[in-house]
Amino acid sequence: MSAGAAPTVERVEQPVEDDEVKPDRPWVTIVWNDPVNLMTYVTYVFQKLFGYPKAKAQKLMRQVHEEGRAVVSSGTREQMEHDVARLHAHGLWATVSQD
Amino acid sequence: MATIKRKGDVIRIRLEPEERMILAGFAREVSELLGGVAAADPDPLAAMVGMGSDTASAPPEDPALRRLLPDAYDDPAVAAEFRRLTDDELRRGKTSALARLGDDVEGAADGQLEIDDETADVWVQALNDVRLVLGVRLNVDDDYRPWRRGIAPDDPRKPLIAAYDWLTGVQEMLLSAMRLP
Repeated sequence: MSAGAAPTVERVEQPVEDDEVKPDRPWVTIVWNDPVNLMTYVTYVFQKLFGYPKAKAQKLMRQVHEEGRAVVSSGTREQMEHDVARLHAHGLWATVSQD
Repeated sequence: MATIKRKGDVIRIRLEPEERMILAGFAREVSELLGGVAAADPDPLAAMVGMGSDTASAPPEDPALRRLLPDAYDDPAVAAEFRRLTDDELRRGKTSALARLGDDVEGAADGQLEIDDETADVWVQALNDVRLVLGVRLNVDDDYRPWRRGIAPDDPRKPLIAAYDWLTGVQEMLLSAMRLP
């Protein structure tokens, strides 16, 4: 929200493209690369836990693999802790971080 | 050699006797490593209030166990607090999945099993935890394949390497037969 907006104008929030980390929700879940987890398994877990379509899950998986890490979700701290707990339950190496 | 194939709504699995032994054996070992016998809690009251008997806050010293129960934060103090609150449930979930895998495999006396996708989802997580532990024990890194090719035939790690590779194959086969539950 920027200062000085006319008080009578109501700003309608547009949904942000889901590939982007939302600036107003500063907590993120990061998944780190590890040499044991299979690419097919990591893709499966991303689809299952986050409901991502296969293409997006694969893209994130490749990012983890090639760049060593990827932000897989963003939101409140509580949501990220929930996501990290679920990722740990599935054997993925994940951390909560403030963006 | 194990076969895993989808047949309609179920996944058909056929395992040799030695394969069932290996699978069930590793599932039990990893479950024991996690300190749990099964999902059964000896103290139902503690379970009700979400209080584990093990309220560990320091990361485990064993690197394999640390891989199964990793820190959730870079900051050790925050990670310790998170671990204190979640460690018990995480261990319980993992030991429960490992027990399910071990029981299912041992229960199939003729080596033939039919599992649904929900069961396969439990299995695939348990299999993954077994592979994570073996991976740490074998120091598996991104150069695993060339490293493995250079292993001497009489290397004492050979049986564990063979087991790890076999488990990788089983997990791959299971994943390709699975649908999202």
